[in-house]
Amino acid sequence: MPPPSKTSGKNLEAESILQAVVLADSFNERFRPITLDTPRCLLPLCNTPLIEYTLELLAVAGVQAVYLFCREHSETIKNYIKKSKWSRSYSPIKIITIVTPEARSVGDALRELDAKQLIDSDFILISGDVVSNIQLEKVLDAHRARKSVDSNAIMTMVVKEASPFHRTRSLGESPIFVLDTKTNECVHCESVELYPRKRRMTMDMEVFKKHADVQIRNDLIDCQIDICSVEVPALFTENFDYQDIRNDFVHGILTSDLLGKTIYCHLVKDVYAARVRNLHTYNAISKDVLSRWTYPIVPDSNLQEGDSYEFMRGHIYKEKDVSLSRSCSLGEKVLIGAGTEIAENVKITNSVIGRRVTIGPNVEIDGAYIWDDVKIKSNCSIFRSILANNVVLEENVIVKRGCLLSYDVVIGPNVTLEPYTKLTKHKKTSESDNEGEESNENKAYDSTLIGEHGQGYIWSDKVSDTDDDEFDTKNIQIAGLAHDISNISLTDSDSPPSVIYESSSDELSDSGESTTEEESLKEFFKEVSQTLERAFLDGHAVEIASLELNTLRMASNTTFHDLRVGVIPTILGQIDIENLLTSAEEILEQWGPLIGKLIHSRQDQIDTLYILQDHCAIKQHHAKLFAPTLKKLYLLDVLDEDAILEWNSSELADNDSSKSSIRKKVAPFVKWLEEAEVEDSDSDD
Amino acid sequence: MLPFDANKKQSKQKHGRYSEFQAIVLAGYGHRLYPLSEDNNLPKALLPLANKPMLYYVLDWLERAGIFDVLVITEANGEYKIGHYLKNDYEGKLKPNLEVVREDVGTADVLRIFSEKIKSDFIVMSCDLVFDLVPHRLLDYHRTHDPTFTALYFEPNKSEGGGGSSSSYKDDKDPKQFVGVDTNKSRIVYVASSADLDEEFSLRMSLLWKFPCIDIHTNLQDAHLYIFKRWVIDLIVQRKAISSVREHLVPLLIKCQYQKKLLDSEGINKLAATYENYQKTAIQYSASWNDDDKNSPVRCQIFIYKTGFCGRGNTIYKYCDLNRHTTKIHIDPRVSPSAEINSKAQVGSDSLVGDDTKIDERTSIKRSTIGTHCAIGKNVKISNSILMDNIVIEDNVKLDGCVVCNGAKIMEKSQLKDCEVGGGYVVVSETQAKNEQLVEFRDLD
Repeated sequence: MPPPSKTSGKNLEAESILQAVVLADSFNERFRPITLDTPRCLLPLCNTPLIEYTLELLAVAGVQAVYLFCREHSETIKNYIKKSKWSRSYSPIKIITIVTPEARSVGDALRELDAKQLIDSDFILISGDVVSNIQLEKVLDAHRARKSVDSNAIMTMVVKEASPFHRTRSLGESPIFVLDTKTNECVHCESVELYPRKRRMTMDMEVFKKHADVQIRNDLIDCQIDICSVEVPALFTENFDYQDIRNDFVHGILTSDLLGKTIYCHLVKDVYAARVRNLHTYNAISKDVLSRWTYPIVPDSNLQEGDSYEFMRGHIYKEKDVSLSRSCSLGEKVLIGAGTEIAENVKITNSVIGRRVTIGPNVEIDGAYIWDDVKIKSNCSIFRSILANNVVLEENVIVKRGCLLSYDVVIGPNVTLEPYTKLTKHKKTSESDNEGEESNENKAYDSTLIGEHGQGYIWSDKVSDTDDDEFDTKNIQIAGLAHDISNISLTDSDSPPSVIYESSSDELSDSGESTTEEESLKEFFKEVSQTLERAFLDGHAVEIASLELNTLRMASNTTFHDLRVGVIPTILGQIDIENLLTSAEEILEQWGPLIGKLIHSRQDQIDTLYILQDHCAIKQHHAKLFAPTLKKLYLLDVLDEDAILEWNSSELADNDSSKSSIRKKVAPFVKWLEEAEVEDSDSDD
Repeated sequence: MLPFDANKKQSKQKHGRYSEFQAIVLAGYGHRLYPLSEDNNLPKALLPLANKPMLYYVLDWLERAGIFDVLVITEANGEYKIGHYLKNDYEGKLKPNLEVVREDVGTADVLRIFSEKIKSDFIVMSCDLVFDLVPHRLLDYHRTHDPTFTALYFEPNKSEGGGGSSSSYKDDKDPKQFVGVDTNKSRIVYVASSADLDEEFSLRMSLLWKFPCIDIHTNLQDAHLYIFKRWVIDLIVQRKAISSVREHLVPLLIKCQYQKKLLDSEGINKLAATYENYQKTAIQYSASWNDDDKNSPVRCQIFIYKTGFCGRGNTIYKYCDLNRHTTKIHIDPRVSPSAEINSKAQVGSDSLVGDDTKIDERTSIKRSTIGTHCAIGKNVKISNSILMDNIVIEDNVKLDGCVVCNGAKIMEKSQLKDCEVGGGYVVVSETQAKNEQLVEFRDLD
């Protein structure tokens, strides 16, 4: 650990103490079930707790006071800090732990900070899981320089240039930044979700009034290191609805005309900076540490007291007291902690092995993270998975990619874990899941899944109540440990091509365009029928139902025709087939006028007739309904005879037998109408 | 590039030189230059800049670029005058072919009509472009990147103000152009005009995945000079709906860079594949070959000209700006030897006077361009103005910021400021006018 230079420390003291705020809680549940036992910031990355990387970075930058915000497991964190080198008398930084059990977001934490009035100058806001070798002094200087030019600058976000598909750029969580080309002022920031797929990024034209040239960047890694001015926590207090620092705070500041504050980005290129956001980045960053991209923050710098890593050829790191068998083979990028014993014929590549691990003979390990005190018995294979402390694998266990075995889980013997299996010793007894509690109460371990001696429950990620849970799980999957980037499609092959010139656009984009339109129409129909069903159930008045439908129509920007197409079948659907005539009479008596509300002209009437005809032609069981419905609607004055006659005299487009048979059904009625009309005109004369 | 190509041999015989590029110069009508481009004056291509027609500057640039296969395309009303100019007055070495099209065809339609005549990669440019870009810089840029097309954009030069015409012609009226350029490869990936955009500016995500770092410029202007691959002509021929180069063809090709579907639906994949690219093969074997775009058949480059002068004379305001600039850098004798200038008259060193023009005593001329065969009376003050040919100006007239067309007559004691005087129009004596267009009314049909 390079100690901070004394001179710089003195200089800072002269001005004021450099402060940093570390968010030890991530306010999400990406690392469940492991984080049920350990706070996220203490998860070992290359056998060193994550928080060490962040604190090291701050110490090197000359930070003297760190406010550590904890929510869950605060005692564990406090104890850890108390025991660590940061609490020794020679520690360059003073860590003050602040426990905010009620905080649900970054915003809450910053409001707490404001309430406590701890900050008196620019400070570094960083999350407790950042791995970086960036020189923060430079960023601080740049921030101060910007402030002297633009007194409204309140924040500098550190972003790193990389390819859009960079391994540490967690897809779906890295926003698009729009920067002023000259000043790097952030003018727009938009998050990009993968599911549901984002098709367009959109920003306000106002931006161009102030900034002639802007740069739209989808290749920046948000390092989650921000240099904030004193105003920032106060702004959070003022706007108590701000939760997330990017989606709410940055967005809020940028779109607010009133505040007039500005936010800048600091672009870094040649340094390493990444945040352990999820399992995917955990994997990527571990590999980067082993490949020394993060130098000088590498295992052989021995960040913690008592570390004794040595760097060997082929990116192999070994602590003291590792016993390797003669026939075991270590491939590239392997890290092995002290006290680990590896038996004969073991093959290890691309993996991190913790301390005091015992690995039995004939075991194959690739891309796995095996934490402390794990016991792996003979003939096991582990691929791209995490085994937390004290996990035991009995003989012949195969762990396929993406698995997560939490603390103390026992597996085996002779089982294979499917990809993405998550296991924990915790029964799912969280408060939010009462049913689960009951059912799990007496449930023994599922031995078919995890073996005879197995101990552990399957952990399934909480499924949210919203409709798009499919998307949520997909998003979680991308963030998973072993997700292949090739599985994500980012080209717009399934979206319609742009229309450039009018005349031929019809032919070329018909297929594409209509699919999305169809989708939205389908959605619309669904909502129409839902609205109606509510009306049927609650017995709404026709006026209210029609008002609701109209609102819906305007909201989805559709026509009355679409509305009729949606409404008529739903109403007909209410008619009891068994008891056709009386039921039709009843339903139409009540709801027929609703159809009338949707009709404004002769043309609309004819359109209604066609809709009826088409519907009854397609839905065979409704074919019988056609004649009574027509009659009833006529009697209700929804349809008049002119419209019916005009409809009847129109040609059928194709020789559709079902449609013509439908027409035959009403032939007597039409005839009656015709005669009535003749009589009418007779009497008029 | 292809010295033994059969097609090229023909053109070789014709011009005695091998041409790598053909040039198509579009000499349109110039609607936005009313009344200067009226029939009683000159077509746009012949409007004088420092007493030389605009077209001269374009042809001069092409000559310096070594492009000898030049097709000048005009509309019916300009045929006679431009033809006459090319035959009799044009002093360059090029022998441009003049072709005429109907008035209402788009720029891409023009290319379709003359597709038979376009045999190699080609340059499409407008006759109103004046720029001091050394030709090989642009051509070499195109050769090294070898894209589907290269477009020239420029940062407009600061206008010197005091414009020759009414302020209502200032280019504020032009809608803002949005140009998206990939920062690393200087590919042009987005074009839009603020006229087409509402309150929101929006980009496809597929664009942002393909080109993750895009500079959006709002202060660049399209010079309307494009260098196209030959196969683009085939595309235009195939797709009748493409009518304008700027509005249809260029946006289409730009979108093809990131929308795969479009490539298929427009049949561009096939077209681009039929085109055998010898140069690409050559580059492929060289060490600097960079692989990443190999699979994309359409690549659009942008050349942004920043440091020098570049402008288009498509509005009166810009035309005056161009004239001022060309006048400033004019190197020939500033006052023609055949002009008769009274010894008591003053002609500023920032002005030009054409052949056989007479200027009488106590007249002063500043920052102005006077054409040939003009007669300027006594005690006349002309500043910031353009006078074309055969103009009579009587005594005691004051002109400031005016454009006077061929054959006009301004009678004594008139005072005009920021006015345009149409061809052959007579301004009666003691007229006082400001910000006006003085033209004879024609029947509108």
